[in-house]
Amino acid sequence: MLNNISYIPSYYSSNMFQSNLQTTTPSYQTVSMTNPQTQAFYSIPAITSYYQPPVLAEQYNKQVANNAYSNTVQPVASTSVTPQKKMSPLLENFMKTQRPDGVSQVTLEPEKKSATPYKNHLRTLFQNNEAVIYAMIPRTFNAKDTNGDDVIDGEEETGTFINAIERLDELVGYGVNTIHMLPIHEPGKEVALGTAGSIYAPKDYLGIDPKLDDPNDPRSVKEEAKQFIDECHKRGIAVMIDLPSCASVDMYKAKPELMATDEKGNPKTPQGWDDIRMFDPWQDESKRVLNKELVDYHKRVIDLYQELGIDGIRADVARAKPVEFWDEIIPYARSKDPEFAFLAESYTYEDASPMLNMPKDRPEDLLAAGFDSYYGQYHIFNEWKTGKELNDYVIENLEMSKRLPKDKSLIGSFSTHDDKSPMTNGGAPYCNMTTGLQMTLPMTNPYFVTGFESGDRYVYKFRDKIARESDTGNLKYFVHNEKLDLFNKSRKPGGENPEIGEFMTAMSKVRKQYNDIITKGSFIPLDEKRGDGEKIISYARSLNGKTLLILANKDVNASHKASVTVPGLKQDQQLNDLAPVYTKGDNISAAENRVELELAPASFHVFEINTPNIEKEAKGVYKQNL
Amino acid sequence: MSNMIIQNYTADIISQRKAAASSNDPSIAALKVGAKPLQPKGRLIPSNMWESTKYAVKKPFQEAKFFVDAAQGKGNDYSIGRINDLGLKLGSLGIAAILAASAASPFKKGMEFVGFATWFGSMALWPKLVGSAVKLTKGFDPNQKYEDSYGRVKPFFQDPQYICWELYDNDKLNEVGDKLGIPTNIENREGAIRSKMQQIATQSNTWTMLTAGFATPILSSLLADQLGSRVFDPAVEKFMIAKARRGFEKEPSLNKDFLSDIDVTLKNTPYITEGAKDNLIKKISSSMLGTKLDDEVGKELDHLFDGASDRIKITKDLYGKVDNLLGVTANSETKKMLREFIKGQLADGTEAFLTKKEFSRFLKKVVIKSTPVKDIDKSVLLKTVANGVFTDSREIEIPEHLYDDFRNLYKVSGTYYDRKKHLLKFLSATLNDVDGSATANNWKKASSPLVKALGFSNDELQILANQKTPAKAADDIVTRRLKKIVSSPEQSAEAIKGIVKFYSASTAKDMKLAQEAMRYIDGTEELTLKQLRQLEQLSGKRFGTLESGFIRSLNSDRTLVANKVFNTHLSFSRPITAMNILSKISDGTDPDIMNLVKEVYSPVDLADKQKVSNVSRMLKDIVFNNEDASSFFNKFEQYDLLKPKDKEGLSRLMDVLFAPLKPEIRQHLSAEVADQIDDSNLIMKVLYSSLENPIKPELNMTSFDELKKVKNVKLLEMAKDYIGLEFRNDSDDTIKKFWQYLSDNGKFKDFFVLLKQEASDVGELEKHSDKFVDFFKKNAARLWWQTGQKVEGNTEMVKELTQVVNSSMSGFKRFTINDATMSAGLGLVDFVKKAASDTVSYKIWLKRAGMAAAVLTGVTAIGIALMGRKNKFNTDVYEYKREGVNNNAK
Repeated sequence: MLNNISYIPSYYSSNMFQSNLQTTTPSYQTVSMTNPQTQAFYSIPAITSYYQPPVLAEQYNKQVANNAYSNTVQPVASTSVTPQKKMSPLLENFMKTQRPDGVSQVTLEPEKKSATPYKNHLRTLFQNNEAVIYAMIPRTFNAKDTNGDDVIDGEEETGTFINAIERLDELVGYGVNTIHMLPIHEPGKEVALGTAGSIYAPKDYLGIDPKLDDPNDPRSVKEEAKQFIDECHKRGIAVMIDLPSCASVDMYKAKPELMATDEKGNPKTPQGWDDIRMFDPWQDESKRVLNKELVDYHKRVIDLYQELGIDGIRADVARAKPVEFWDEIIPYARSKDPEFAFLAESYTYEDASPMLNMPKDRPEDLLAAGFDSYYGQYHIFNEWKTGKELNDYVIENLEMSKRLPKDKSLIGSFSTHDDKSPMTNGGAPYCNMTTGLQMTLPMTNPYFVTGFESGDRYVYKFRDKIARESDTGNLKYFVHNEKLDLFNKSRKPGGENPEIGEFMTAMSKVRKQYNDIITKGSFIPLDEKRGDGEKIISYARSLNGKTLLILANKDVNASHKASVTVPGLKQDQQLNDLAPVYTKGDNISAAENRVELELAPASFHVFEINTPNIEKEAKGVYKQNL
Repeated sequence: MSNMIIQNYTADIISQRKAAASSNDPSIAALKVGAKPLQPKGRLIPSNMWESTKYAVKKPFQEAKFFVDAAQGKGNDYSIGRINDLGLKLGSLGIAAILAASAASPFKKGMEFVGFATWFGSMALWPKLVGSAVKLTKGFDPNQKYEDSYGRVKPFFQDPQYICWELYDNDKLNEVGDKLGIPTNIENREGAIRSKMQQIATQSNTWTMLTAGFATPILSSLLADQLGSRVFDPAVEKFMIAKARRGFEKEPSLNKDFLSDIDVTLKNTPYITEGAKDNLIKKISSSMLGTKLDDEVGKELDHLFDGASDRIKITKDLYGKVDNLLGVTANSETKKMLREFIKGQLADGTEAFLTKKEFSRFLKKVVIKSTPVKDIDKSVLLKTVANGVFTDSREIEIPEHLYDDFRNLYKVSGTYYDRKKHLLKFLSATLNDVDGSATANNWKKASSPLVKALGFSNDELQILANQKTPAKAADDIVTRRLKKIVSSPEQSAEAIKGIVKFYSASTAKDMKLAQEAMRYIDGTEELTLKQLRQLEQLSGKRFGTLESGFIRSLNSDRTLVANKVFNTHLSFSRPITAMNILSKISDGTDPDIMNLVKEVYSPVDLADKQKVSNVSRMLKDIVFNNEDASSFFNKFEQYDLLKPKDKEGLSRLMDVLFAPLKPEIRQHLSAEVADQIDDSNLIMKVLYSSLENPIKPELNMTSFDELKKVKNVKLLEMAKDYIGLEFRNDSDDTIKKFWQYLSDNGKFKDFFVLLKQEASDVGELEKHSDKFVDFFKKNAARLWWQTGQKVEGNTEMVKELTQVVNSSMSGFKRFTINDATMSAGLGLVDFVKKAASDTVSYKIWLKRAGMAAAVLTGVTAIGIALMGRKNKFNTDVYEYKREGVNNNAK
């Protein structure tokens, strides 16, 4: 039978590559055999999974042996990880029986390294304000909801690391170069929310959710995770993983030495989040001595992440742990990978925490402790009344950057997984406007949450209904209204507005084209307006005499007419919109030192203008501490 | 309920928890930044005066900004909450302002705001009081404030879920823990301390809120009382007096409308109609209402037109009036004549003028030629024609100077009016019985010291304060008390000392204000008379009527001022005067009393002792009940006394009543005070003596000599100002002879000159006698009737004499029995009753408020003591360290 084994073709198809991506030769570990009689050469994938039970390996090898050339059999590309274990004795024996004349020669082919190994550069991306981030949940990213009920059950395929790879090219198309991968650990089951449990209530940080394993892939879920991350890297996408802030009830019971209790011995729960328990970072808070167990535990988590190839961490509720803690973890991570980035989920200075048991938010402390970037307050942009409030907030951050070490930034957190769908704030035009803004604001790494690109309103048909099956024992489909589902196995994020993704693509190109101005240029707020200009957002970016003029209408319901002072603007200036126009009724014309405009609701425009001296003529010019 | 398994397990684990060691790996250590939490942006606000002041100044500006933000829709919970406070205060202030607007006096107006201030003050004070007590016992301030990163000041413990603990120093925290008895050997001591502090702060705030409903009115009441008497009363008094004083510093303000009315009506106007003249005069004179000189001003203004020539204006309008002439009084023939006349006068013109003479002649001609209508008399016809047709035709010439004179006369009157207005304000603020005036405040302050000085028991005070207590019963209590005092030198000394305390301060203050008032009166008189003189020089006319009016009015103000001063002096010294009388009475052998009895009251069938007793009783009643001494002569029967022989009786009575203080009384007073009391009594004696009474004693030089004995110069001057002293005896025979002499010898003119001289030269004191005024008036009238047409120019002579007499005599009104009563002040028993009523009311209020405050304090003290204590609702559960466990609190 094995005489007819021929070389198993490689898997990769051309459509997985974009022209601007480097093609890599797949490498995989195989076990090759040569029939000494026929000299036929064959190789089969080596079973390198550390976690796969031996039975599966045997079955797989059997299958391979019987169907060696089947196109349906896909060899699994392995990572560069050295196999943890040798072939099982069972397999060895099997192999031995295949040798002609009872003789076999088994040689392990050396691992083929890629031509240009991936090097983590995520920290540099943040420091240069060049990260374009896309947040996704592996559990749902490419889930297949065949019956359209929004829930993945029965035979329907959930999101896995493997099927997630399908959509990576799509993300590249949007200009994404960084993935924020929401937590991948198995959720706890006790007192869990939803039918799958919250991804932020892990059972064990040192494990990966087995539900993310592709059932058709013989490799372990860890290997599959590595595969996914590798594929990201191949496409130039860095991967940042979400480090949860708390533990599930299961973990609380399993690892009490890590957990916080009140004076009565009861577990501490962040107010309102009843399915999770808080860690106790202190051995002695008064002396600010850290809890060794917790520090060590997190170091092991870092090790795991780095083993998987993760490029950075997004620390969930970063304030849940003190700065001293981060000053242990961050250096530890960077001692092995200096480019390991840290993004803090931190919003704004709080005098005290409004949430019981949760410490107060202090972004500046966290950035000073080593974080590269933080969330900021863009998620309340829809609540700001005027365009000036946006400019003031930007200035506030630029001023803060001067108090901190260089190169600190924030992300364009106009919409995160904790917020309602931005579609509720003004539909596709609003989404486009925020895309335009975060693509052109200073000190800002654009950030998009899964579903944004297609206008998902995060409306789930199963909300608050009773499930037929559950992984947690909780039969109720729990999900926050109009927010991304974190608690159930639900559909892939969708929506009916692909034009949002197209606009993202276009703006990514603009951003690339004017990369220097946008990532390093000065910020010039243009708040001097006449007419009905309160809702108009207007600012300029300038570097080395090159200037971009950005205009937007914050009001999603009404047009506004105003005259905005733009120092140095000439009447004959041609205003060619660099961004695609998605609104109707806009009217913008240049005049001497000002621009006359009438902007449609939620419109966004960016122009390159010839005002080489704008930095000298403008009233306020602000720069980031780079 | 704590999870015992977990707790125990946790305790085990925690005790084994180890410290995280810093990485020894140099590559890791090199990457560390030594991160520590940055300095928080907020701060605890220390409770000191500087911070309180800073906050108090900043607060209204912040609240104004919050208001503006809220109006623009930018509010948040914090800012809206602050506006709520602002709204509450503004609303209450508005209500106070509305109530104040309708309040009768400045004092009452002010009290509305005192109520507002004390209410909100109490609302702010009560939490501070509770907080201070908690701070004292628990070691921290539950009302601690902090300033957050946005500069907003908030209570530290307000929101148990939002407490900026990092602002609290750890050392301070541990000190608080020590005070609260938190064990030192527990895990997370700071957490336990914070938890306990939160608990106590919540309990303290809850307690404050629960008790605020009781505490605020009690505190407000206590504060208003203290504020009222110590701060508000003096402040209002000072303010009103200062305000009134400022009026005198300014130039008199004249009503510009009236001046412009004069300009419009008279300036550059050759003739004025009678109607317009009357209107103008009426308008200006009515502006003097309040000074009671409106008539005088009107008359003087009218006099300015004396001698002005007038004319009759003939116009076509008169045709209509002729036609309307009643057929009853004028027939067609008369009307025809009138029409022809008018036509003739007008010729081709629209108007014509006739002099008054020409007009009169014409009228007479018409009337003479007219056939009488029925029985209408020709004089009636004349009148009818004149009034019916030509009433509004009369025009008065505005002679040269009349415009200026008119204006100047108005200015003089206006000046007087302005000054009088300020004077009245000054008197309201000082001597009048108006809430908030200096005198009213003096009376307020007198009640308590009086009853204290006289040593009434609580039961006696209750009886005296009761409105239903019969007068006799009250009288008996007061008499009994005073007799007891007088019988003991020590008690006398004590009582007098207590009385002098309020007497000296009050009378000194009153006298000073009275002198100031007199100065203003004098100043007003000087200013207006000076202006009047200037006007008289310019115009060449005499304005005697107005001058008399000024002086008379100001003199009545002087009377009022003096009355008030005497009122205070006599009222407040009456207890001492009463003690003096009682000591004389109880002496039994006092020579003054014995003389009085012997010389005046000598009924044959009464034993001397009985007479003495009756007279003593009468004397006591007069002093105690402040009745008019002379009126007792009408009541002598009730004392079993015969009618006194003559006017000597009253005089003797006055001698006794207003005798100098006895040595036994005097010794307890300083010389100055004793002299002042003696002087007051002396003046009273003189005043009573000048009264008209059934016996009609006449003043004589004796009384004036008595007055000269008054040592207190100020009092003397005041008395001089209005006491009439000298009469001229005027028997009928003398008069007849005298007038016969004048007639026989053609001496009327000489007598006239003499009278005029007398009237001008009459002495100050003499002027003040009504008899003197009567004398001159009588003589002036006689001159007229006696001489008739015999003495050439006698009409003018008499007129002039009368004018001189009036101007000399004007002003000082006769001192009447009312004045005596007013001057004499409050009777002793009435004074004591008033004081008792005030005192009892105050004590009742104080007792109730005090008891309420005491109960509140007591209960609060218990509440505070229980705060944070371990009980079945509040179990302290701490995690103790395993090794070296000492589970007992420190």
